[in-house]
Amino acid sequence: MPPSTPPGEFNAEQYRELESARKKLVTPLVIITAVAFWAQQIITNFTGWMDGAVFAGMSWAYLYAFALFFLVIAVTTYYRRQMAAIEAKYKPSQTGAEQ
Amino acid sequence: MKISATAAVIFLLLVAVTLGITYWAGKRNKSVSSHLVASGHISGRQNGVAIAGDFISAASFLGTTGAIALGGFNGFYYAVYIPIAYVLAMLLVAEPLRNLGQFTLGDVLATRFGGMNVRGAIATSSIILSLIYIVAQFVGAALLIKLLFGIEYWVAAVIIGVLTTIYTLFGGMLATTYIQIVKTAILLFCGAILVVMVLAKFGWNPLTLFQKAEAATNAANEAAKAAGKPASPEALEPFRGGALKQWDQFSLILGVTLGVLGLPHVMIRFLTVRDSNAARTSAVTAIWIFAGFLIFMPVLGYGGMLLIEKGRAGIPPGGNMTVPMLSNILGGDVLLSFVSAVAFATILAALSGLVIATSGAVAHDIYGKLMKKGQVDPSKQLLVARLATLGAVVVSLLIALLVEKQNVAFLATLAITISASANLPALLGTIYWRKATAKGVFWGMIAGLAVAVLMILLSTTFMGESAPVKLTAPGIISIPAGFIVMYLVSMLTQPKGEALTAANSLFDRIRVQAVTGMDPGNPDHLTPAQRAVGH
Repeated sequence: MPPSTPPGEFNAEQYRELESARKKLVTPLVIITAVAFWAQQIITNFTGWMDGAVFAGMSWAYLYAFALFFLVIAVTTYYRRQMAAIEAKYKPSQTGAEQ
Repeated sequence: MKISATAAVIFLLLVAVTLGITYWAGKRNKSVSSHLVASGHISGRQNGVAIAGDFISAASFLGTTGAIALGGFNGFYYAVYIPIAYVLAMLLVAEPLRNLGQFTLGDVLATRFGGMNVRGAIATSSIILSLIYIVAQFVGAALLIKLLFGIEYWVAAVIIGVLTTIYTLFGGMLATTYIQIVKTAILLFCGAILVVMVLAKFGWNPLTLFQKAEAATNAANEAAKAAGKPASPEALEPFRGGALKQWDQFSLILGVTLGVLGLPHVMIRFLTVRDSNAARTSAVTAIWIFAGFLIFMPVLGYGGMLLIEKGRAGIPPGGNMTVPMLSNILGGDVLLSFVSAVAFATILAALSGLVIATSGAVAHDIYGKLMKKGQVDPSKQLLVARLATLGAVVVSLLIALLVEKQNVAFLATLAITISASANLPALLGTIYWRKATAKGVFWGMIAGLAVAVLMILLSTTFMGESAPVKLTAPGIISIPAGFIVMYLVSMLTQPKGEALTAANSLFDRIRVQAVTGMDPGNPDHLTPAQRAVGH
């Protein structure tokens, strides 16, 4: 198995910026995903707020659940693009981050 | 339900393809690395497809559809949590895991906590939960194959056991990966055919299908009310059966969602790729497949409910037969045979991944690191890995044969709850929490594991109505228990003086490696201001 350690010189300052940029990206996405999902679980499971139809054949509960599927597509697309930009900024020769 | 010669032909064709893959992979499976993680040579996209094949078990495909047919909206909970869980896994675990791990979850913990206790604890937890999961899969699979093919339970179990052994023993992770990829491809194809055929019956409009499903359950509930019988779940509305059931449902979803992030057979898939970028691609690919596939589960569930004779009353308890019965109605024997073959492939792919994960924990963590202290002959370790592979299948098969008549549905819940309660606190604490200590992580794992097992043993599942624990899903208690014990013990065992400096330095080093995949060497050149702060 090839080592996961890429070639390149470690640069503490560059690393600190990379870590900070990654944290700024990941933290809100974790919060958004977790809050959206657990809110759906709590609201539909413990309250009647989502009871009733939006229109014929579609309940509020289903609309919210389907929206979560589109949320995960949006989150994954955004995360991937942003991480690509971050990794392009901190190239392996500078930080050791793999491309 | 018994199926015909068509099924036998499709079944044999499928077995021939998977054995061909195993033969091809077997010629390349010559080392411990190739056996356990395909030498890290799987591409990100391939791995994403394989992850989907690994996780969508027969329970997810057949069970979720059946749960929607019988339980309405509440059944959809079992589909929604999967892409969400993988998004959280992608953001929090996948990339650090790839950058820190080699073969197992134990490697990740050992990068920071060098003692044997922590590695031993997560290896033990991984082996226990994987074996429980394998037994659950074995029993469910054998019962399903018995129903689909009309053969004896023990024959079904032995066929599944023999094929899983061949794939994993000779083909290792490489064969497992490609079998999972093939399974995903035919599962998606099968799902697409069924969705198209159901929608064709309802004017190509999912809303028409939903309206008819709602009308059918409303009519059934009116009739039940008139007869003085309890109402059944409506098709489109959440069903709340009282406080206990609501908390149980919530606890179950909490456990299965967070459990994904600590499941060894899921997480080691991220070790089969080259780097963290490929791990990210893997996760994104898998999430998109999950989202694209699972969003159509209500179409199949309501299609089954409306098209199967007598509706819900015509579907056997549990709902697993909804899709096979629906396929028989829509496409006759040929489609039923194809669906049965897909279910069979689904079972084999999921079991193979579980067996490889178990053998990795035994051969690498227990034998290589704990017994041999890392000084291990690679050929002997490969032999141990193969023996562990064989042992995992044989032990699980024997247990599955013994518990045929028992209700073992709780086993899958228990396994994934152990993952969320024991493995997840340890992984997150190791990767992100500076103040985590070896003792904190160790006792957090023990607490999570013990509380989950104890709660199941003291629940109505084992003790009936007089049980002191009324919840059947322990996650809502056991997961916080794992995290709280890890926190408290870590805070009570904080290092001081030089030990604190060394612990901080090591954590900084782990953070660099987790983020960049690069071992910074001597971490002392990191000043306190430059220290990483975990999420």
